[in-house]
Amino acid sequence: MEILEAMEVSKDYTMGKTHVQALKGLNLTIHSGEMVCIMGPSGSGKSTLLNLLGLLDTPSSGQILLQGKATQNLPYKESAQMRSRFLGFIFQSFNLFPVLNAFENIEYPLLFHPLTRKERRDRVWGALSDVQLREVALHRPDELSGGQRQRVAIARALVTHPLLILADEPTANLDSESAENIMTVMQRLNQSRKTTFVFSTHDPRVVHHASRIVKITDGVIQHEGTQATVTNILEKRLSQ
Amino acid sequence: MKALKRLLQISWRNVFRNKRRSILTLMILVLGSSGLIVIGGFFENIMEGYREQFIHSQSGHLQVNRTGYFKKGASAPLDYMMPNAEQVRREIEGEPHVTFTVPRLKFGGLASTDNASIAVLAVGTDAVAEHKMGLAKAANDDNPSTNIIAGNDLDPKDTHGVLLGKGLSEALGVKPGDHVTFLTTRQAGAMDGAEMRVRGIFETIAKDFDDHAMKMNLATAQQLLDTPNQVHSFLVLLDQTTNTDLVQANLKSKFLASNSQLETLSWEEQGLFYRQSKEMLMKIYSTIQLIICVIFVFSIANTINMALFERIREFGTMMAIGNGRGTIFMTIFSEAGILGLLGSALGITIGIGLAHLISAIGIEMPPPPQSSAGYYAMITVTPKLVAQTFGISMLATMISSFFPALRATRFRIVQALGYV
Ligand SMILES: Nc1ncnc2c1ncn2[C@@H]1O[C@H](COP(=O)(O)OP(=O)(O)OP(=O)(O)O)[C@@H](O)[C@H]1O
Ligand SMILES: [Mg+2]
Repeated sequence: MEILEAMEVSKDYTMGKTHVQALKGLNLTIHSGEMVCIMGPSGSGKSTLLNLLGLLDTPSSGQILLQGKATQNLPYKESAQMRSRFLGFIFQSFNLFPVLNAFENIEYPLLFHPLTRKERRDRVWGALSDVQLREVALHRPDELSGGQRQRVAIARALVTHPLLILADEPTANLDSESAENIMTVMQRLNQSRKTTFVFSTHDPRVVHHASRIVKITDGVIQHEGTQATVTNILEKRLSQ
Repeated sequence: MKALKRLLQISWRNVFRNKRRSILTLMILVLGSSGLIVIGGFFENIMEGYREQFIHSQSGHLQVNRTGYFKKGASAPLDYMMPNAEQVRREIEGEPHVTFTVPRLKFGGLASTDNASIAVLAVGTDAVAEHKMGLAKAANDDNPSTNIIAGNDLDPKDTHGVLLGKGLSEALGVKPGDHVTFLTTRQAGAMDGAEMRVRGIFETIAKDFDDHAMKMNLATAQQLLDTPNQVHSFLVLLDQTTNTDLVQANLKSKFLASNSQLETLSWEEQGLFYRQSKEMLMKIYSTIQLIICVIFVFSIANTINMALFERIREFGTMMAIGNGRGTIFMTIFSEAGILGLLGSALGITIGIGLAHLISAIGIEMPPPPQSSAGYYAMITVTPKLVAQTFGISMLATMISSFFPALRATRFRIVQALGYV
């Protein structure tokens, strides 16, 4: 089932006199249960695409459909509501609230959902279990390692049961061991919970966790396919 | 509800996130608001002193006259006699909160010695009641409201013994025991004169009064004017100054009901001197309030702005998670609110503590411009003063955080998220 669609999406940036076309009429469909990896070199438009898919920004032209519903020209309030209900976010630099402990950070997005106190607590403990952090529930972010912080962030994205979690370079600020661990957690959630993930990276070591790989260069999709096909193409390139 | 509670909790924690900065802001708030309490209380105390001295030397808490006397009596004193004086006095003294009354008969005349002739305001009064009234001291002053600085107070038995105000005695160049010739106009323009003997010299807070007033026994005054048993006014003294409005209202309705043609004026309505002094002090105080308010605005705005820029990415995250702009606004606004609340509560508490301490010790003050004796200043903290000080801190808080909070709601999410 398609949950999110980008149709002929372009994004232009203007800085002074220079115009940059970060995305050039890109088409992409995300299906429920997928784990999509957006790959590409620096400046290829990965972040721009994820921001558009996450309704954090609006395309210069083209459409983003969330569950078949057009999302451009939504007033701030409605797009905020859609993000709160349907989307989860994981950021490169974790973006936890420093004054809240792990439990409170994960609970935060639930405060804006109609849940009882008990339901909320159950969900937070569930999410903490999913990322195996029950024992540090009462620690503040500055008392956690980078990997632990990102797991808290995953739990925070997960706890509202979103349709889709977007993660822009979730492992870029982590050492390779933590990065691998984070990707394993995400993959496990994807397989056991059928949580849909879209993440970007330029680290080839984490790519193998994805069920589909989209490679973009200069704002257009260069290759798209399953793990095997993309790896094949890449290898052919390298051997040429 | 739960969200609001948690947001307040977050704001509370954020206030203490950068301890040094918040403590600095709190210190400014504490210094400012405790200063406002102490200065305001000091001015309040001065005004209270003026007020009590004025009441007990000249105006009474209330003054009851024939209707129109207060405005027009000076030019035609004989037209505003109160013929049924004794009955009016009994009516007034029957009111609750009234402790006693002082009769007054005031008229102009000419006082002469060998050297000088000066227009004076003769004040006929009941020696005993006048003395009792004049003895009252303001809380912050050791001197009685009517201070006999030379000689003795009036004596009912000494019919031609008079008391001169300090300035008048100096102008006439007389001292107790000296004689003064007094001339006045009776009904139908007849002149009457008498030889008076200076019994004593008095001083009050009002120099203007002391420069012109000559006090004498009521009976002597009535005799000079040929108006037996008649007076112009009764000064009404109450148990407490705060009851003035109440008793005034009661007397007014009573006189209206009995169609007595009497007017009832409060000390405040009579006291031009008091009103002017108060106005001046209030002007000084509002300037101080304004300065402190501005300091508050700048220091809170500075703190809030710094906090804001450190946390732009946090606000970006909140928006990404789906928080409304109102939530972002409230986060910043409530943070400033907590600072303002803490600072002013602490400042007011310390201010009240200081006020008690200073009042206990007392600040030795030089003599005021129109007085000869120094006194000990105290600090009078009124609920109004506390409310005003609190209001100023909260107003400053709101002004200083409104625009930063508004600006935070205008951030574009992507930019806020990318902000390091
Ligand atoms: N706010 C902006 N203003 C102007 N140009 C921008 C802005 N954001 C991105 N760009 C430009 O758009 C293009 C795509 O940027 P984007 O951040 O999407 O790339 P990316 O693939 O995420 O790169 P990286 O791997 O470095 O994160 C780049 O050329 C970039 O310079
Ligand atoms: Mg990027």
